[in-house]
Amino acid sequence: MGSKITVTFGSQHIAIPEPVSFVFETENEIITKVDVDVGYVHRGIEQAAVSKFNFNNVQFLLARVCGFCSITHAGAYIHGVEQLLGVETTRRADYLRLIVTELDRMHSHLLANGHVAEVCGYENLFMQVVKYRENATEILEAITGNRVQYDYYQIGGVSRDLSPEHIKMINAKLVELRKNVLKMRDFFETDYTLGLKTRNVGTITYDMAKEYNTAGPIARASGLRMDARNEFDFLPYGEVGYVLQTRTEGDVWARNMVRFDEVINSIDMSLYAVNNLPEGDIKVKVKGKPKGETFIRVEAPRGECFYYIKGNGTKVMERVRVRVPTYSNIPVLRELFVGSLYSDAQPIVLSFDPCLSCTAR
Amino acid sequence: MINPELIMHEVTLGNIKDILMGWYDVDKHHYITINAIDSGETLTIDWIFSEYEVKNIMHIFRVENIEYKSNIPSMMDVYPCAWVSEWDLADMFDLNMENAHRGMFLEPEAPTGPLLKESYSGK
Amino acid sequence: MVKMFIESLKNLTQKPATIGYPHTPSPSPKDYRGTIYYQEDLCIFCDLCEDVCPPGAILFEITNAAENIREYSYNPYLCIYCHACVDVCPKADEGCLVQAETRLAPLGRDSTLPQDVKLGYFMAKVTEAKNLDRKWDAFEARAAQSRDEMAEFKAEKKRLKQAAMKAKKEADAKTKAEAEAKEEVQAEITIENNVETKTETKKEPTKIASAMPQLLTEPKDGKKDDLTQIKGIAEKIELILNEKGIYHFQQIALWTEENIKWADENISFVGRVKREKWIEQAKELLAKK
Repeated sequence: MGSKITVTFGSQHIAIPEPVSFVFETENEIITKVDVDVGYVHRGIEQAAVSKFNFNNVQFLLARVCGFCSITHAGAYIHGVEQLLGVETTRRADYLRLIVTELDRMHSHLLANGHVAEVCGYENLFMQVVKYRENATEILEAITGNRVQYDYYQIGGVSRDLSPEHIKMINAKLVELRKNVLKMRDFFETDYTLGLKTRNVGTITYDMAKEYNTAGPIARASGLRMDARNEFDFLPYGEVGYVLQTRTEGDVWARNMVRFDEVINSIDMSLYAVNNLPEGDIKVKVKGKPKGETFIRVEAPRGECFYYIKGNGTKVMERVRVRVPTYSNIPVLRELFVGSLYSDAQPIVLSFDPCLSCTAR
Repeated sequence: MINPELIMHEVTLGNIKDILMGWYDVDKHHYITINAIDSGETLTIDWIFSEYEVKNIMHIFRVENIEYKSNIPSMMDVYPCAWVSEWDLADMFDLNMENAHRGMFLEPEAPTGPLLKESYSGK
Repeated sequence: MVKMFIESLKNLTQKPATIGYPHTPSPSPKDYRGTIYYQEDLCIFCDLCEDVCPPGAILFEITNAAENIREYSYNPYLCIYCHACVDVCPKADEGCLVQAETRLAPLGRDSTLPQDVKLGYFMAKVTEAKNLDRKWDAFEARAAQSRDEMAEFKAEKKRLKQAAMKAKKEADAKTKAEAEAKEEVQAEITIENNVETKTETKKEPTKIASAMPQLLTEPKDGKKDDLTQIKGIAEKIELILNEKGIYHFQQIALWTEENIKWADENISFVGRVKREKWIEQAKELLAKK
């Protein structure tokens, strides 16, 4: 046929709750060229962090980079500041941090998978996932006192302790969630119609994942053994039974499966941590002002989150650099679109679990 | 608390591309990002890498004392995913980055180089 | 596909997972992070909460720079419920700043604002929701201005104090010179006069010197008055007063300006004696007795 049509996807699109704009050039149904624009929600957070806020307030600001991985953003910053101040946190605080971080990962992964089902037209499954996900968010609400922005990490420790009732409640809810997630994984794995939309769609090969430096579940679904939890020991993952999850297919379906596998692993880790909490204080006293520079890598639900922090011995930081996971997954996303069907664009985007507010900061 | 091992590599703007071309191994190294720090008079630019499945290690290629508006080479030939971070930095620090497409992260009416010190210190 | 279909059929017969909000109220979990409540008579005006508040929802306005009187204001619709202010508050255990377990209802255009003294001075003054943002902006500017005025006042005070010190030094030097040169009596008199007028003019605008009021080692007749009857004196403050040696209304009623200054400095009341009219209250209570 040869006639080319330009189709815009975003900046407001029904499939994605955040503003991103792709301009596709299509030939029949096949996408031949892509343009990306991600800067719709630039809020100047990196600048505000070094001009408007004192160093002991910046974590509240950075937690608002993103609603879903807020705990990892605040956590990365606090790990850095503690390193600059030479603070050694107690083991109990480390375990509590780990529990909240993993709970955050659970509910984020479940929602991401639900969204993929939704844009494939499977609303029913989406509702089911969100119903079960509620267990994780309820635990978070009870532990931290907030539903979305937890503000749980503090410099030197955490803001609240777990009571015996909490531990009982977490055990009950996590066991139930584990059962439900296994059921959900079965639905996603065996469902025939969902498989038509997700299997062999948007395949990233192992070589491609390496070449484009992908991060997070996207990389692991292609078999790339890459996880900041495995490589940087800010939290005691080695002690609680962390296992790196990979799949080899690399398509939308495999990305969903990796997320479910990780949720199961997170539940196991949280259950272990909750039942083997070390005794001790939850917070240590902190003195001084940060001086020097440091590099931090932590694993956010969407992938690796990198922070560079530089302090100059005053109340205000000198430089805070945020590199969010979606940022490193955009290049491969652009490559992936070329040659695929336009109707597959939505599951592909959603299987990346993009967080554009993070990316633009 | 852990202290990651930071391996600093001495480079200059002139040889950074050649050095990276020889050093970067796609099977071993993971490109994280590029970062700039404004000291008020000059810029420092870091190219930051990690290694797959190696604990607590980071490679940093640092170029110090870069004049504003210098020409910065693009690494898209070395690893094709470099464009997002490079275009971001070009917008934020008003850099003359090779091949950079300005305006992806900032709107046209936004101030130039919002992360430069002089843009927010009231000068 | 079949499995999900069966699951869906099962869901049809189950009761809904959602609640009928707004007809059924949303459940409020225990230890939820809610609105911040404040109690003025416990506050020591350390300003730590203002410094730490990330969105700037807590502000102190200095209404009287000379007596360092501050008023606490809080905007519950700016608050991010992060708990940082309660963490830093040195008096949080006693209830100076408390985080409630519920939040205020969301702000609608026509909703009436909550009237509660514990929300601070700003919320007590605003009645209509649609004015809130505008008035908060104006208040922020006013509070910042009051800070500048305070800084100016302090600088002025420091300058005057230095000038007074200098004048005093000069006077000392002059008297020394006087002792050394007793013979030149005639010349001395003129200089002394000069010094006297100089020191007097300098001293006038400086603050009133503090003086210790009448203090007792123990209550008269072994029976002390219930000082908490004075509005503004809580049990905590009564204890401090008793420690210092103040047990009776009569003692407070007899306070002079210098004594008030002493109280400001020693019991860290910062202008509250005057603002809450302790002396007048003490006099009234004394008359009733």
